[in-house]
Amino acid sequence: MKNKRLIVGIIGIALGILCQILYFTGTRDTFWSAMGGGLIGAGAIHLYLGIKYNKNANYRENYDTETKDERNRYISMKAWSWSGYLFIFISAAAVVGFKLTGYDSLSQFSSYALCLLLAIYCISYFVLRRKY
Amino acid sequence: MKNRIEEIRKSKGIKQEDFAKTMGVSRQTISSLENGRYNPSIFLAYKIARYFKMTIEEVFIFDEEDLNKR
Repeated sequence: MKNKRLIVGIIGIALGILCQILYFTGTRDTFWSAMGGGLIGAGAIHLYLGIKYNKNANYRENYDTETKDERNRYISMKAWSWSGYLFIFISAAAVVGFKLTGYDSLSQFSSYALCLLLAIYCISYFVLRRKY
Repeated sequence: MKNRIEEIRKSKGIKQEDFAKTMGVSRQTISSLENGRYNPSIFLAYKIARYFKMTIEEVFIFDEEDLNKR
């Protein structure tokens, strides 16, 4: 972690500035300006936390304990698992809901998202089964 | 799984926060362990037992019911 956040922060800000330059020179539209703003903001937060981590020993100790804590990792894995299940149910409901209300393209998009998640799950399961 | 962490820790006069620091986990994790809300990994269980100079079986109480719940 020591310098990872600083590097991520600097890269984020640099990419954000690049997006802004592309927008202001007229080569890209407002999407890239908004993206640039987001990247600069996220990069600045990463940079601030990275500097705080390097300078504040108390914060560093708490951060390291929290990130290495096995219960926190367990909770994080559980939260990802719940998110996956919830996403499947929400997507399935959206496929049917959009179809019934006549939004066929949104229904199709939801079904693609659902299929993609299931495909990622199957690949992950296959890889992890070989590993463990 | 039930355990005797709180009982042993208190008998040795160790604060939850200090114990957490020694084990390299958060205070909340120790609290959850003591309340039986969270079961530790084998590594943490071993670390705790070794810290108390006891065996894992002396600290963690195996219950057939826990096995059936899994």
